[in-house]
Amino acid sequence: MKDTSGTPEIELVLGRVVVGYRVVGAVWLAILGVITLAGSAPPERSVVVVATMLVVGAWAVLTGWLHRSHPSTLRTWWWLAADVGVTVWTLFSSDLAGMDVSFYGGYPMSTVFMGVYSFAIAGGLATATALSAATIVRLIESVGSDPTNDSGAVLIYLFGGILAGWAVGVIRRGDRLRSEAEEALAEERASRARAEERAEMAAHLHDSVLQTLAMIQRTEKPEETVGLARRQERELRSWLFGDGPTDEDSFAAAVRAMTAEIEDLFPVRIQTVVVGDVRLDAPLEALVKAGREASVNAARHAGVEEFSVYAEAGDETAKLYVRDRGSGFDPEAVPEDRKGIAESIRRRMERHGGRATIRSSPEGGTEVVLEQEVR
Amino acid sequence: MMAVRVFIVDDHDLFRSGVRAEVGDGIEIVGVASEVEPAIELIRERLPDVVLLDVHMPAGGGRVVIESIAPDHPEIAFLALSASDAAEDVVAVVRAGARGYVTKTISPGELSEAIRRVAVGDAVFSPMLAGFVLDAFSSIPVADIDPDLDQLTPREREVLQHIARGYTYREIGEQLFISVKTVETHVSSVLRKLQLSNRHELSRWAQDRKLI
Repeated sequence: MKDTSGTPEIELVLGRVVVGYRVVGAVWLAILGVITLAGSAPPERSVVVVATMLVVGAWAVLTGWLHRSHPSTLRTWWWLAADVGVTVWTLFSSDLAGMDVSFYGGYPMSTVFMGVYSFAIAGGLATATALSAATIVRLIESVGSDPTNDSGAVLIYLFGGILAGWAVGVIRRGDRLRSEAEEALAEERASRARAEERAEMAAHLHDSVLQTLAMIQRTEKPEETVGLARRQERELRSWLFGDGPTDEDSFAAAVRAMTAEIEDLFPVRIQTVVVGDVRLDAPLEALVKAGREASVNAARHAGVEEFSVYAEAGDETAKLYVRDRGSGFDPEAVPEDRKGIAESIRRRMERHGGRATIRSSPEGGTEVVLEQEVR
Repeated sequence: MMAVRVFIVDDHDLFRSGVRAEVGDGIEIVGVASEVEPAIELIRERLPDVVLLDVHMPAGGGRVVIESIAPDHPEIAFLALSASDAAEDVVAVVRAGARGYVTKTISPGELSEAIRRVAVGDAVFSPMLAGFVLDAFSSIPVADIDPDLDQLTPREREVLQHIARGYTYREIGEQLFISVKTVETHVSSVLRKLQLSNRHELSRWAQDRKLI
């Protein structure tokens, strides 16, 4: 599993450099090791050389793997201590093998870079000091060391640690400043977008809601106030949620537009529910028109403030229900005007092969059920 | 009969005082809150029977309140209210555990009735919510259907259609020749399905609907 998500880009790059040098150092050591084993004066204990090569190789692979999957591990003191341990082993490996030439090559420097990567100058200095101490011990104790070479190495460790530590510090600081600047810029852009959005909303509310409220304060008739409030509510709703009547070809939109129109014409509120949708064709248009007549009827005669329109468009049929709980009528003894509307609803539906059922009773209100096949 | 103890969570002053003035006998308002955090604290303290909950509020809205209270207090019923009817919000709050949903244009009498209903463990669906549920369940692809959860029985469908058509539970019972109790059972079972069925498909449906 990778947990590199929280690691800044620059750390991945620095880590790659450190791992890269580690691999180079390991290959360097391996080549010198092979040359030593195959040379004219093979070591007394060649097993130590082979073991060192294997340990260094495995350690380089481990470093690379940690960098890919657990990069934070590379930046702990205990990792650095283990890393120094392996390197000190390579320094003494030729002595343990009983040789008078060392074969560690450029590998120890990779630990200095690791220290720099982990703890900047402090890490570079600490690792360089540890390696220098080990080198000096060897210089004094062991026969296989070369004073000129090894004293030069001490200088390179210390100087390299300080220089690389300083450079990494500069790079990191620069990167931090850059990313802070980027964040500030993004923040500023977002806040500008928010301000624009707010301005747009304010403009819309001013044109619609505030105007309506002003009109409401000036109207004297309560019905007008209610009408204005409803129209405004519908407008605001469709602006906010975008579920207003929009699509010309949509049956659902046609039903919603129809009830909205009735709400504008009469002081009623219509609970409109539409389930599903189909393409609006001539028969379905007739269905909506018949529904409009039924709704007008309810608004005009039922004597209610609110009634329901429910439309359902399936694969085979579209249905529309107009239901009020108002003063119904006895279908057997209908007053002429209401009968006329009932008949015109029926005829309209039958012309397109649809069906209208009207149920009404004086106590239970009226429900008009309209059905039309969907083609 | 003991009064139903109700707690109101809503960030609109007008609405809170309106409900206080309107609810009928047998309903006692034990507290109000206008923000999510204080609401959670006060509800834990006063343990009402029913929480009236606005779907739209800052800091996560009604859903957060339900999610923080419901696990510890399954006996508290939530009735969601909103002015907006935006499908994805309503479905989200019901799926979080609300026992019902009504719009704020509901009449005081109907609101009192709805409160009593959720207090005794029934579900309350507004016509709008019934429409959403019918729409949602019919739009789930057949391949993804878990027959026990993602499908409504013909009877449940019929009950929902009647609710959408503006029928009360009692009127539905009369129409379908079943008892009010049976109507309630059907609605509760729809609520359960809505809360348990395939989360992914339902949210996708609500998302799609928003885009129309």
